[in-house]
Amino acid sequence: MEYIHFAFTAFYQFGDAFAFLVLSAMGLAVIFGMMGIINLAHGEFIMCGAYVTVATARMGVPLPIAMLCGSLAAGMLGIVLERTIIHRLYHRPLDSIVATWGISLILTQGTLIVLGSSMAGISTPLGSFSVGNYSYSTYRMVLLGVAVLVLIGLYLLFHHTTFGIHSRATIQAPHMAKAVGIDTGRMYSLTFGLGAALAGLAGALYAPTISIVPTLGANFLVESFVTVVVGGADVFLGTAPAAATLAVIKAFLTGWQGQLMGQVGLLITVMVVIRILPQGLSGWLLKGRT
Amino acid sequence: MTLLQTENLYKHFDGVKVAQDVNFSMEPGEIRCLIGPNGAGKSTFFKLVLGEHQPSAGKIYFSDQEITQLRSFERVKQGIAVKFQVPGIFSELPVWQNMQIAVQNHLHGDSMTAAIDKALAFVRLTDKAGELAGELSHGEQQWLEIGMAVSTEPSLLLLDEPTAGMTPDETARTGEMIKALNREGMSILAVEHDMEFVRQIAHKVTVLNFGEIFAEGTINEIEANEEVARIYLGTADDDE
Amino acid sequence: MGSLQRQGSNTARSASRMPHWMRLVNGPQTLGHGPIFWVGFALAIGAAVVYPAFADAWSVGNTAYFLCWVFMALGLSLIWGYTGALSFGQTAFFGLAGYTYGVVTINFGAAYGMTLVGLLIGVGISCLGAALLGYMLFYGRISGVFLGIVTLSTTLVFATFMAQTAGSQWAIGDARLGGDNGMTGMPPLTIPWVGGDIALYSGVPLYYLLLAMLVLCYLGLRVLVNSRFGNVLVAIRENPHRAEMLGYDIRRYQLIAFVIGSGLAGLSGVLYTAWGQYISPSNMNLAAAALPIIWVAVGGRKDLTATLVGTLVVLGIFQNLTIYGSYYAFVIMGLLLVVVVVYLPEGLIPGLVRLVSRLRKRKEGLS
Repeated sequence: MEYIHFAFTAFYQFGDAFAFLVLSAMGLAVIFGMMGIINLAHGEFIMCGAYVTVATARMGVPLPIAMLCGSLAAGMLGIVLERTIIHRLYHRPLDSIVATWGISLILTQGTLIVLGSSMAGISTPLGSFSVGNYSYSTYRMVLLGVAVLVLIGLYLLFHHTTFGIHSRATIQAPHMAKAVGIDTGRMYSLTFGLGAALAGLAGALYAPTISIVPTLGANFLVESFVTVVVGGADVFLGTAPAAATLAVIKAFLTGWQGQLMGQVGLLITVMVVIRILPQGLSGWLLKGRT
Repeated sequence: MTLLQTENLYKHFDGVKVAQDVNFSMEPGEIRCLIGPNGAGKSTFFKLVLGEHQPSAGKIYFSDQEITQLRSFERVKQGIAVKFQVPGIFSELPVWQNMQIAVQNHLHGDSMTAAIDKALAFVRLTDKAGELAGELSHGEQQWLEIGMAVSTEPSLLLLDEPTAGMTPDETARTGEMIKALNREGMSILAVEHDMEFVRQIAHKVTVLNFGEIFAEGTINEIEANEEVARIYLGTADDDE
Repeated sequence: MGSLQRQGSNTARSASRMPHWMRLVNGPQTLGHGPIFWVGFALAIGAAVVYPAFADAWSVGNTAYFLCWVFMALGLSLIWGYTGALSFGQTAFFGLAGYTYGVVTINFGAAYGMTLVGLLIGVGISCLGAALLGYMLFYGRISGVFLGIVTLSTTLVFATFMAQTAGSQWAIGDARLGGDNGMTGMPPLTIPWVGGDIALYSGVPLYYLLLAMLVLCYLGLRVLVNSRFGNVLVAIRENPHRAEMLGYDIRRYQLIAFVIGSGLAGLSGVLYTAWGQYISPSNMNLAAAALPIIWVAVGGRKDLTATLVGTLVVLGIFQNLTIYGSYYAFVIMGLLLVVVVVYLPEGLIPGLVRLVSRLRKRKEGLS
């Protein structure tokens, strides 16, 4: 029996870490993969998703719908920012990163001004289940399921819809895409919106488990950066395997030495990985295909 | 002594063979042109020589010294210089400073200034010394880069399509430059598509096809070679 | 003529007629040269020297506080502006050096010039940290975007680490790290002197010390960027591939620039810690890390003088805004950054210089 407990605990911790890495990195990865921009306002889209979710849930809206609202609100915010600011900087990717940092400051501190330094949260739903003598949070397992569903959903979106085909065409050959009549500007806009909505979804999903403060996005940043750096530019061949690999390290170190050591371990992994695989995992997996 | 020699050089990219058993050699003082259809492995060969790619197998010798393991900048210090196909200059810096960056690595003080002025005069950019490099015409940018490459005082100069995008007048002038450099003892290895230009400068021509050395000889021999004509016609439609 | 125009080649060549020391500080890499600029420079220093005679003690102390930060900005200008390497993690070295100064001086006191030793060790440790991190990054061929996020991630993790050191077990000797509340109780910089040490609490003597250090640092960096070394740095920024193919080991140059720049961030950290006898994780977090980026981007990152002036101006604006609350100040800073990046990517001062020279050219064209 002890072995089963141990195995399940390991699986649970891995699943928890994997879900967190996938969900927090996905939005960043979609935007980076498509436009080569690292969106430093990523944490603020997460924050937006969390705030809207909590606010609507507290008004009595059922939680899943509140979460959808949170995600959509972040997506909308993303599209607005893309149309007003980001689209002016496509030919200057490094500058665009700096600009998104400015946006991040405005959003965090603006939220502090408007909504104060914290907001009443909501409790974690679904209670717990037990295996043997140990109990585990059911919600954490639901998050793992959602992370997997999001990956599948994105795969279908990018490979089996017109949007996906157009967006991949835009990534691979923007001029060609334009020449065959794809509105690349609109594609960028929608992709940025999608990335923001995914970030918002991460915020929405984790909202019941964290304290609702304007700087909450920063708690997701290191994990999402690290996953994207290790993964490289491809969401499916990069982010997902990177999250799986990193989740093992994070789960192990967190279980052993606490959350902080988990982060330190991730950081060290990143430096080792970029040393051996300069293009990230996806560059390595895709090697020679281009 | 051979200047540049490769021994059973192989390079694979995940099963795609871009260099296959390349045994290339050239003598000091030579002007060699490297031709071949698109995708024949010409630029891969350059990158192998420059150390931008590591070969999957084989060795590279320069002046009879093995350089296979050396990093790019070390090979440059040994006496290899390159002019890229797309002009690789420092666009936001003045022409004079571009040249200075090339020269200051091995010369100081007055001899540096003299070398810069000489290089500028050679590529006919003395009057434009104060302009930003990015504001020069396409041809002038190509010359600036040749000037920068030359002023590292290499014994071997690699030129990747030196006349691409040049007017006939500029092309002719570039040919004169190359010959003048050669007269001073510099060896030149050029990738070139323009057969007229190849005829103007080359002592010897090497034809690459599918990563292999397909033929080698004087320009007349190469042009008389029906096999060479066939690979050009046969693959001309495949690429681009 | 134009005292602020970027020096072209003609001046570069006529520079060989200048005295040697003039050639060192004047060169193609710095805006501002020629008699008018240097007269202005001398006047600015003169004004700074007599300033304490006309200002109250609080203002002088406050100006000293501003001067503390400028070193970090100049260092970032070297790394980001001149070398083109996006380092978002300068506050990590700021904090590392600040804490180190605290640990050394709390344990060994201020007598016998120990604070100066603490300063050197603080700066040294931040250089060492930068050398380690920089080696991993530059020799791992990390560049562009990834360099920015790895340095930022490192900074955030370091800040998180320091924030959880609240317990009493987190102490080095007598120095409690203090968690979120930060470390306090370190002595100010103290100069050993015959007849009694001089403790430089926020005030006129500290102001003069910082002013002198800043002038030295500014001139030293001008020499550096106009040297052969500086030439290679801008070459790497403009076209790293070409620079390598001219025979330069670009990783080594990037690393050295990173270490120097981070050492300057460390210097700022020590000076700030000694000034306020306080350092905390909030000096390193996401918002704090954005500030150096803003100072340098707004002034003009590709030029030392623009960075220097821009930093002081932005610090002044920021402080005046914090009267209405630091949140408002940060929002305005964020806006400023976005506007500058979108409309004046070179920064305000080079933008202004360009505008003036364009107007002058047009005038000359007319007459």
